[in-house]
Amino acid sequence: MTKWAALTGTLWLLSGCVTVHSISVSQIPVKAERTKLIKASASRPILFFIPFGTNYVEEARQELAAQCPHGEIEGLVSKGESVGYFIGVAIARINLQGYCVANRSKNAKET
Amino acid sequence: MLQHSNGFFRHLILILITGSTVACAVLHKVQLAEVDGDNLSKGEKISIRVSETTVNVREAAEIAKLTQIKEAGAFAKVAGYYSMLFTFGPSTGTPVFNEFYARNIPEALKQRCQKGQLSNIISVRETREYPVIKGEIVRVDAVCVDNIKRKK
Amino acid sequence: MTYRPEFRWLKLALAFQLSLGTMACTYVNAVSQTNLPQQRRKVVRAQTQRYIFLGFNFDNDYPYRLIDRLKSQCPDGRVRGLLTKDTTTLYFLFFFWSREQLAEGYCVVDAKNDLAAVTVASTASSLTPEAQNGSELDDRATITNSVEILEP
Repeated sequence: MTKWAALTGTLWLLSGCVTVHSISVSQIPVKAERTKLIKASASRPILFFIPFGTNYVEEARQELAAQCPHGEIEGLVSKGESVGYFIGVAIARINLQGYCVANRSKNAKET
Repeated sequence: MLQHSNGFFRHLILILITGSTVACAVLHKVQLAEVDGDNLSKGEKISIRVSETTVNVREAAEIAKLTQIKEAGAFAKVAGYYSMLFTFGPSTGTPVFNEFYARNIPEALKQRCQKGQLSNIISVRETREYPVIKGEIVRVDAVCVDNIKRKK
Repeated sequence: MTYRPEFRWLKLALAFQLSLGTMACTYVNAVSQTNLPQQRRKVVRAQTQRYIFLGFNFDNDYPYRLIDRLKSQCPDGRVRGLLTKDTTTLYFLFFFWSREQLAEGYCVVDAKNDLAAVTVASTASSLTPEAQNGSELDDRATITNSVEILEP
């Protein structure tokens, strides 16, 4: 009984553990251009070690691009992580965050 | 005869384990930066490679157990506790003793491309596996594009 | 709990079921995304793959082909907004698997590209008042001179 209680307690404690698997940061724009912060994320469940696709990465990118359709997105932080809820149940997630730099071409004049 | 054959199989497994991992290359992560087209990326190819040699304690313990040396059992136990208590958590490859071995890569790239700009940067994190000994490697390849002339 | 012979078959059946269930499962190892450009019309994509049997892999040079493939699809421009996805697909548990790298970006063909570095002083007058005051100007802020890239 004590063993089962200890096991259940441990599993509950581990529930919601987040692990970062990969991280990358791209060039950060100048301070004056860091006005609009945009974020996007997408996830897929992994049930009993069986993932359900990897297209969630492209979905997150499209969601981010849709928030800044006429500008450049810079200072991108891409974080790939997984969240463990219970034994055999996890979620693979990608978080993207960046600055939408609009109107940069208006500042640039070509002679 | 059974006891003799047990010893034989143990040594055979030991040889197979050590032989099978000779110089295997394990790829952990790949990252790309922006890529310039064929006509824009003509320059000197540069490659920076840093590595750190380390020891897989758990593997050493498992191989020692197979040799039936008397102290191997105790060593295996200690190695097991060490790897469980001090090396848990997500990681790539085997833990190293000096985690700053890849810190000088940006400086090295700057030295190799002082008068130009770096393009087509690809970074690869890999491991060269030998029995017990592991080489943790970080490779960065790029093209140094220089000779930019201003036309007024 | 007494040992029953059918437990052995149960274990084998469970292992077989697990291997079937995880067959062709793809796991994402690493993801990276570079800055997204304003022009997102032309999408270019490249992929490399290596099949690995029992962990036998003696080099990690195959991801470098990604750059060559991207370059050939965008010869006069720059591939920006690169999404690099590093995945592993298990075909039969830990006996046979493959490593794939997929890179997808936008080919931006532009007369003004980042390699055309300009002096900031000569372009200060063309900046908006907000950009002129107290901001750090980088080379991409404005471009006034066209440049010629010499072939080595």
